[in-house]
Amino acid sequence: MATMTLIQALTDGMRTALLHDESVLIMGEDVGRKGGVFLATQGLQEEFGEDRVIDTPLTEDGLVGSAIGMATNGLKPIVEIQFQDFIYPAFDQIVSEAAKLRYRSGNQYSAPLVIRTPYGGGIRGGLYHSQSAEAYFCHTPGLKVVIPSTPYDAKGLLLAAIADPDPVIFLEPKALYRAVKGEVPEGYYTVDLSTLRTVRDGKDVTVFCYGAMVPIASKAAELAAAQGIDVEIIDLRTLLPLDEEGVLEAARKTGRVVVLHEAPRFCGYGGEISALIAEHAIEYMEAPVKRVTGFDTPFPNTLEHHYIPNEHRVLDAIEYVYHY
Amino acid sequence: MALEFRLPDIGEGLTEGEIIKWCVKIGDKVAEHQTVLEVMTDKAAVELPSPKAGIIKEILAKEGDVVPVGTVIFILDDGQTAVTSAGHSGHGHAKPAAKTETKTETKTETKTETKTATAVSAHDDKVRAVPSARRSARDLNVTLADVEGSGRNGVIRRSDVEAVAKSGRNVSSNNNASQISIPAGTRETRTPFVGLRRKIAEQMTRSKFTATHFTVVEEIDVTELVRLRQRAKAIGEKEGTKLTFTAFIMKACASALIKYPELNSMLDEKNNEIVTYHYSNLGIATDTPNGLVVPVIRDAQAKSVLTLSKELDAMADKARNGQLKAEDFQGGTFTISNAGQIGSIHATPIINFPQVAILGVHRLMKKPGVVETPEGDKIEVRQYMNFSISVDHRLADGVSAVRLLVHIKQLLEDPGLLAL
Repeated sequence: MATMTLIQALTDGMRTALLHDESVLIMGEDVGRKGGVFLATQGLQEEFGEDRVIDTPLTEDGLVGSAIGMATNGLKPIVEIQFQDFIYPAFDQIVSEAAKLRYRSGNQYSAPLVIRTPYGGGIRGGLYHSQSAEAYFCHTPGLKVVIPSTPYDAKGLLLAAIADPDPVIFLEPKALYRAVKGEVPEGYYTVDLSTLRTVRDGKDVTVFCYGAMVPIASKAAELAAAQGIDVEIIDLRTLLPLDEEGVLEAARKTGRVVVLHEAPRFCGYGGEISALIAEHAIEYMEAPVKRVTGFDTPFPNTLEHHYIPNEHRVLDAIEYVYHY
Repeated sequence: MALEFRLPDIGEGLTEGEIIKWCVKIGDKVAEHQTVLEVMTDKAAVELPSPKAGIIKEILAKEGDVVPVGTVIFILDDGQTAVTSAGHSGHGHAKPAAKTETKTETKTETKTETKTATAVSAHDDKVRAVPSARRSARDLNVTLADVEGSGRNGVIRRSDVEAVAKSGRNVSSNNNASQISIPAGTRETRTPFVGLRRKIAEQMTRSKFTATHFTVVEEIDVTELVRLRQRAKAIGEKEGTKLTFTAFIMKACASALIKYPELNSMLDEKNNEIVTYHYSNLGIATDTPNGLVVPVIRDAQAKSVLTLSKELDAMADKARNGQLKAEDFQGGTFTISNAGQIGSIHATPIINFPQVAILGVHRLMKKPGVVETPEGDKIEVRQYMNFSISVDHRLADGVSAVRLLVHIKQLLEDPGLLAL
């Protein structure tokens, strides 16, 4: 098995999909000759030609709108949005058209497209290149929202997303593109959507997280272990649909929960996890669910390192719920 | 123009107090430091003085009400202050007793103000417990209101509930049928079960349900002690104290407790530790017109019989005059209960929890006894007292109790040894 970075695993996943299914194609700004802004599609146009890896004009709504048209007519487009911050022009196409097509057509049509886009901070990208907007999409029935955190999951989840008959927002933690490495199987495999992954077993406190926050949670768990607090880390992987049973099982197991994400707190994804536990597992709880998140401000450029949760903030929350 | 007086934490981490007596009524003028009410704490009745001079505007708790620390219990019009608070604000879970709130019979124009005050704090009228503790309390039939929380700001955790369930305390019965109601007749009197009596009842029940009592009894020939006391009385009189047997018994007991400290200890349940004391602070169960109280004589092991006797006199005076303070009851490591002056030859005393043991002292009696002489055994009129010791078997075993009693026996049968 080859060892790859997360972005290499994504490239490998797309290459595998192009080989596996002739209806798969890639489209986006600079995805062809340049290989994408982060080089995720590097070499794919050379290998598969301009008809399957298509450079498009700089128009996100046109890009996603075209992809919806292709998808409803039998193709399986993978759209790359260079930064998640630029997805908003296409927001209407995604939430009003792609997400609703199956329902609106009485189950006659669907839009099996994947929108890949890097999200989050950590690369000094500043205000317009660092946002974590997963909650907007999670609020939209008809979409699936996936965020990998390891190379293995990145390829397996991407292939599952491409195979899925409905639109999938595939958010890539750009801070981890080249920061994590791992073994990735050759050829085609998928990782089930809507199943969470236990990163680390523990009995005292459960930390729910995803994407770029998974390594932060792991560092915090190490610090907590030094104090005798045994932390379990759950990588949610698919935010919509969520593995609700898995979440509740993990919450009931320890009775103490921290939810960790980089996006702002208010109406953020952590609130959903917290509410789910409050509705279905409250009697097992030993402490309130604590959220560790970004702040309710626009993403700050120079204060990026304060904005993004670090292991110490997570540790504080772990200690809080543990000693509650 | 009103000062809210909140029930303060009078003693060591007091969480609630029972209002025994109001010394004032609405409309009364009070001076600064004038006693306004008496409150029963875990250990003693305490008088609470007014923090300022003024007029009693509202009285918000009835006699007999048990009120959490931090609850507003009366409102004083001091003629200057806007609404402020006096007293301790408690630990965040202060609540006005529900009864108090509804039964306030105030007919002055300040009624609205009071209502607002109680309404604001009404949401605090809840037990603070984590959800899992609530589930646990339901499953284990424990009344949450009676559980002391060890979590942040006194929040009840699941482990607190489980500990209570395990100890058998505060486990509520499934229905109210177990609460016995006795029909009133014409030839009985009915006295409110309040104050010291209720406090004693709570303490004794807690002790009996928690400590695993067993009792050992020993008969002690105190003929020599009677003679010694007779001679020593004159010295005592010169020193201004009436030497009683209790002082001698305390001296012997303190000596024994230093030698066998496993009976001079307590169980710190929170920290799972046995605390052993290397000094003996003797609680002396004392009968007062209101009921039994247990003031403490400190460091008995370091004091002479005469000193102990003097301190006993002083304590008894205070008890009779109702002047004992909360600190007089604190810090006891062992208790002596002497009802011998009245009668009894045997008892199974209930431990003054969380202490480990209690010594019961019984009446002095003349009996024929066998005395060994060079001419052989002879029967003589001797004087005897029985001693019973109840011990918490969780922390100490029978041999400890017997050893302690034997040590006391040696000292009291040959009281000259007390001087050693």
